[in-house]
Amino acid sequence: MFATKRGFHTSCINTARTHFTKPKSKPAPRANVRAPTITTHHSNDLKITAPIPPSVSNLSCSDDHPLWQFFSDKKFIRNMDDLDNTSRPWTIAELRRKSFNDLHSLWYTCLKERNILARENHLMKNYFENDRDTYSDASENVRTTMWRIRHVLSERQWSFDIASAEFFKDNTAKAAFIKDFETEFLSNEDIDGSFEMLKRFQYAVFGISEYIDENKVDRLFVDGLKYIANLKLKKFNAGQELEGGEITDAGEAFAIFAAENNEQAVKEVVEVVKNLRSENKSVSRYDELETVQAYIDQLYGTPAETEPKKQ
Amino acid sequence: MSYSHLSNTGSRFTKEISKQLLPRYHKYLLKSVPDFLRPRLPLATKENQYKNERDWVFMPGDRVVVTDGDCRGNVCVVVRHNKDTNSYILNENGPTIEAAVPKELWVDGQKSHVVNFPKAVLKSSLKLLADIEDDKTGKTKTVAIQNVVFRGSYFDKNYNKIMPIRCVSGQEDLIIPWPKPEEHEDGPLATSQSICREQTFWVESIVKAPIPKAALPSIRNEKSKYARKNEKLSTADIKRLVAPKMPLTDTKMHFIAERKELEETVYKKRVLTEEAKEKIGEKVFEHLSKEML
Repeated sequence: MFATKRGFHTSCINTARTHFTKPKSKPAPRANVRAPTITTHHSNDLKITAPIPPSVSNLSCSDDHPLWQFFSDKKFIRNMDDLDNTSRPWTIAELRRKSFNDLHSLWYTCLKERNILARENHLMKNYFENDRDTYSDASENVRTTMWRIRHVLSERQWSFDIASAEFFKDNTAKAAFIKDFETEFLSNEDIDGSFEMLKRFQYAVFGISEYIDENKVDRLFVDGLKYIANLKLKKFNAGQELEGGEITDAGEAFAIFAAENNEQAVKEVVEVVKNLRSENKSVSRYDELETVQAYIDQLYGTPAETEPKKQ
Repeated sequence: MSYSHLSNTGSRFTKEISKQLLPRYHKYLLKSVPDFLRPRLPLATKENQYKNERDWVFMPGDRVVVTDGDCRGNVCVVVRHNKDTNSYILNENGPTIEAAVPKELWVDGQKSHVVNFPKAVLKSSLKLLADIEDDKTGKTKTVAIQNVVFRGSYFDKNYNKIMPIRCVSGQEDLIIPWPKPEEHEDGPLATSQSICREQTFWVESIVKAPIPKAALPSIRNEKSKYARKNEKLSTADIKRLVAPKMPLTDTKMHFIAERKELEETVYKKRVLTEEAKEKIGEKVFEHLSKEML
């Protein structure tokens, strides 16, 4: 049951739902209306101004706009006589003498020129409706240099792959090379000259760059480190003071490797190594890579990711 | 707007077609080109075009004598080569043609529609001229050379490349030097000689690759089917490369059957049987016993 309400006899009719409902009356205007948070243009904000006549002066383009690289001297199209019709492409023999960086920059110089020529060729064919192939012929000349660059680099990589495969095949070639170097290095009485030799040798065989922070620490690097440390000891006859006479620990090897190339410095480091041994400090073979990396970071200022582990 | 110049796709096909359509192309070319620009000699195909000094024999700057035509006997200088027709343009002493030039193409100072144009000349109607010293009088005289041969080569500083040595045929100790080419400035893309010759690449390490690893895929196609790593042929490759055995034709099969039959009957190799061997043995024994006893 629902509670009956007292009312006029018309109130029932007014509240009844009909097919054509009466529109609700407008709500009373609110007192606290929030101002619109986003203001945009409305038709009543817009003002009609005088049309802008199309002209070049209305357009502005900065001088360093990247698309200028598709133009030669900001010209719409070069005169055919201004093209390089006399030069020849680089020969493979000439390119073989150039370093990767040189070839890389030459490649991009060529690429830029080809982009310019392609744009001009497109204009020639479509804008001027001329069938002449002057621009595409010039471009073809540049392209010859470009494929030759790729050829030379590919050839270089092949020779590296084959040579290194041969060198490391059964380690005899490597061992013989290292032995040859060792006798030459130890017999050389010119200290500076022999260490210059060692610098080239360590890069050639172990890939250890003289700029130590450029190196990636891997197994080869650590092996090289140990070998060079031992070589230094042999050079200055400092190994006899050590037990066993040989360095096998990566930490010790790094200390000797980083020492100055003179007898006194090496002997000082040997004392440090003796102390380390007496304190029973050594680097586990499993932690060598991380430890050496941490040493390098410490020495050359790059933030260490991992703390050196010492046992 | 056409973008066909951007791609080489189908160029081989269009080249094939253009070979067949070449005569018609030439006909329309001649029709569409104004008279004074029309080539008077047949166009050389790309394969037949002269490519080097041995082909050209006369270089710009050479003195030649014209051996036929209206200008027969005139001494001229080769001005330039006409690569399209394998011919030579000579200086004002050479043959010319008169042609009418429309007024739009007049050059400064031109007063008449009719202009003389140099006419291209073929190699066959030119003879090379050279100055030689007369043995008897000791004076230099100019001679026309019947034929030129090339013997050996040398580095020519003027041309900046290896050039063949041009000799007189039949008297090869007479060398006719190449003319000095017209000097031109280096193009805007040229690299100076010293920079070009400077060596900046050295083999420094057997463990450090000369190229960054990330750059390799852009240098060569790692997945190329022509790469050297695929030198070993798989069975599938061998199957694809080796032609299948053709089935025998009826005639061939007939021939083989006939041959086999003949071999079995006529050409059959006689084999000594044990019986025959015994018989021979008996005969030999008989004979020997007769002779010996």
